[in-house]
Amino acid sequence: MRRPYGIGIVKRKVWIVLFLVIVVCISTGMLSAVYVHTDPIVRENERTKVQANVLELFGIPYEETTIEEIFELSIDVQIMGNDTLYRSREGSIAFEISGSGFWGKISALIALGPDLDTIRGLKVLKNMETPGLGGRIAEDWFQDQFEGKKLIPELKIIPYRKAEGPNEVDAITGATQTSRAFERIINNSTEDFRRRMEK
Amino acid sequence: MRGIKDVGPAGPTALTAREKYRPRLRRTVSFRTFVKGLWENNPTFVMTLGICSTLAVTNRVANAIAMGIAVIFVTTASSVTVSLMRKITPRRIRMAVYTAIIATYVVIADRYLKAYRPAIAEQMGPYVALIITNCIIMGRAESFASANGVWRSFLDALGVGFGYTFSLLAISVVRESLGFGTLMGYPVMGNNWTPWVVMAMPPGAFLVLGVYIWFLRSISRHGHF
Repeated sequence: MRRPYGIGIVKRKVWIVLFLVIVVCISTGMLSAVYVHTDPIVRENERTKVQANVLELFGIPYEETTIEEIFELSIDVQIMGNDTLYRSREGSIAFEISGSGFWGKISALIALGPDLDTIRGLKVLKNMETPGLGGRIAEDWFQDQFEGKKLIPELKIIPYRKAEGPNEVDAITGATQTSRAFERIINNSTEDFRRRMEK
Repeated sequence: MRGIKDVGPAGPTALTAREKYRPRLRRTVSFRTFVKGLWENNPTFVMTLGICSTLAVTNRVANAIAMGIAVIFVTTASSVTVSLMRKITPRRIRMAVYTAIIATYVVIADRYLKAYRPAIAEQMGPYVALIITNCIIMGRAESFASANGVWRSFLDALGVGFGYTFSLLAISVVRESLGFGTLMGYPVMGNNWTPWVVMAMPPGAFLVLGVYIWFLRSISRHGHF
């Protein structure tokens, strides 16, 4: 393949372009093959991840291998506008909420009881908060607090004393901004949701 | 010749007693090539390359290991490919060719991680895809693989890849234990440990990296390794 001496300048330029085209074609071919092979698996992973989150939210026990079956048996999926609603057999409804936190977007799954004003469960899906401070909203001890809390008149995340009322949970020490933002996200999105359900 | 070396006057090929009893492996060119990347040319501590990803993924040991494996794969695969193509690659467009090769392997690594290790892929966020911009890999392609044979390029890339992984591990062990009180997710610091938030944040990696470089330069001879 080595070019012979005395090759013309035009030919050399054509060779350069041709070489790059060949390299890119081979690379694209390889990537297409990899994509075709992995795409179904990646999609499957994403779907089971969502299903596992929803099951966990409703406190339905599952194993890695039975996620899909149990999900089909116990959850009804319903599309409403841009939202996907997950209904359990007891009439609880789960949906995704999101809003801006202290550093970036926070998104979470929230499950409400049939009356729409009691929280059945909460699971933070994505956050960009300070690791070790605001990032702790994704830890179990924080999320577990929300179970059974009332959204009427509104949910409060209490930073300065122990949470006592039926609509109060403890904030994270040192993460006042994240706690405040999270409280706002929960209240705004659930209120919005209730309004749409009443229509 | 060999039998009298210890007693006779040292000729030009004479070995000192210390050299004689070293394992032979350590004197081979291949082994030297491999080891150079681990220590003498350690990408993070000596060449200070690839710092962006070092800051980003060293907050937890598991992330550091995953990133290390991905970088080892991409570096060796692209160095071998560059070395194979070194004689037919036109010099003027070699950078474009390297980029295409590296990008191909990075996307492959990214897709397979997403397919078979989704939990780790999620933790790493965009940083696996950003291996494309890791200057260690382009550096090995340009400075070594483009001028050396396939086997030596493979060893060189492997050495540098392991060197990078080793540095990530060294930094992440400190950061995870101080910043989260855990190692590989298991608590190691006891119940009353107050996490150092700075260690969990990217600036913590700068501090730890700086201390390591300081320490390693101090103990090395002549200011280099």
